[in-house]
Amino acid sequence: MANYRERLLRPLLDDNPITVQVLGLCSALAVSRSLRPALIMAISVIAVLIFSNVAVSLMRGIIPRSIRLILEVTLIASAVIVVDQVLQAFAPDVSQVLSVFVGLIITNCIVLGRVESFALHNPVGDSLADAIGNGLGFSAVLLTVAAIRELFGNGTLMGTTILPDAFPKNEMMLYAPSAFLLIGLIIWASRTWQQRRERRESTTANPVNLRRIG
Amino acid sequence: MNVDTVPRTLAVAVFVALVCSALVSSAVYLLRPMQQGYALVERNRAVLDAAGWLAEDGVSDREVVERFLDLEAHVVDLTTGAYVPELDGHAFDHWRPVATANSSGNKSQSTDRVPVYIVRDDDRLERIVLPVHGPGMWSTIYGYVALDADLATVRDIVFFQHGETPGVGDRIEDPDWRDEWQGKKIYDSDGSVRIDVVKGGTSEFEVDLISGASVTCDAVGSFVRDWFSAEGYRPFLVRLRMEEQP
Repeated sequence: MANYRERLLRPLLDDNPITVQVLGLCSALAVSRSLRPALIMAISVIAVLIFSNVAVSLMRGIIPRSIRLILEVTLIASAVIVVDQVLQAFAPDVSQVLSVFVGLIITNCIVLGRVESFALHNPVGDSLADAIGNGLGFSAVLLTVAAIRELFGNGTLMGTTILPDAFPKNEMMLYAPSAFLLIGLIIWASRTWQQRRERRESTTANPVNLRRIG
Repeated sequence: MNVDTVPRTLAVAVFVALVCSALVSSAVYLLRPMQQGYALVERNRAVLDAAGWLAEDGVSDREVVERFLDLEAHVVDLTTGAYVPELDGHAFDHWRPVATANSSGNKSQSTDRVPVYIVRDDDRLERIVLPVHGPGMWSTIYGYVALDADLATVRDIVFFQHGETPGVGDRIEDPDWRDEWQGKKIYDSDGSVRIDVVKGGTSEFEVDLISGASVTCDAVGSFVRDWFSAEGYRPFLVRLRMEEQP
């Protein structure tokens, strides 16, 4: 049980796919302009991650080494097409905003990364937890960036106006480079916080260290 | 267990391919009715937009369909310019054979029966909405041109469906470019088609193109010209002008 907990929670902060593994940046840059498409994108990525991680984990005993990448990409691509079709049927307006980026989930490094490095060697339960954890870790960063960009670029959240009209809107937030800056800042903040925590942990665990440094 | 033998590799590959293709094709097959229903609503929305009946944002899908059914619609035979009374203008889809022909690679499919939509203020004709389509840079572009009561001046142009480059060619949908079309004359006083998309064009027949999207804009200009030629709407418009003149 503790194992699943670990698999779910670690990718949220300590092993976040974006801030620590630095994967899946492209889609985080592209679809973080406002919250609603980002939310749909996050759900889509989680769905694709779950499907491909579970499928590959189920088949890990019979996948021949020589064609494993091809099989993984085939499974991921099928999941992406299904998600794309579902979006076109049930959320067509968002599907139009996301346009090519839904299809580009195939190339989201997080999906192939998790399948290749985790699901291929681990049982189904762990792979499922790993998929959900990494999906949520990706979503957390994506939604944070999208919320900041929509709030300061447009004064709205999920399309409803939050900031008063008098509040100056920062148009740069609506362009892709601002996502670059924001993700950079998030990576910096989370790593600084992590290093500080690790230093604190190592000093309390082993006070000899401190004396040697000091 | 050795899974890397050739027969096993082939077997697994075939198995995964079959399962995945079954998954993908059943998703496409099961979801198609919903996607088509949505496409129809979007199309009605585009017609209403061109007709000027969609002034406010956030009109619900049901409301769109109801307003669309309130529009006066006819099916026109382009060769004669006469209405085809046995066909329902609200339901007639002249683009379906076009789309089918495009996907099967047969480009020669001609459309000589086309639905048109008329907006009246009391009894007087106020504008008319005419569907147009043609090849863009990558895709077939579908749209509607709205004409003023004089049946020669562009009131609006709405693009309903296309597959042009996102961020470049799709700027033909921008309000700025729609404004650019507004007030341009399609025919000169002799009745020949003069409208065209021209770089830096400012005269009453010239629509300026969007820099960076010139191929798509040129393509739009050339199929709009074709649609208003003698093989297109001209016979119908001539007849309508005679009938509507007080």
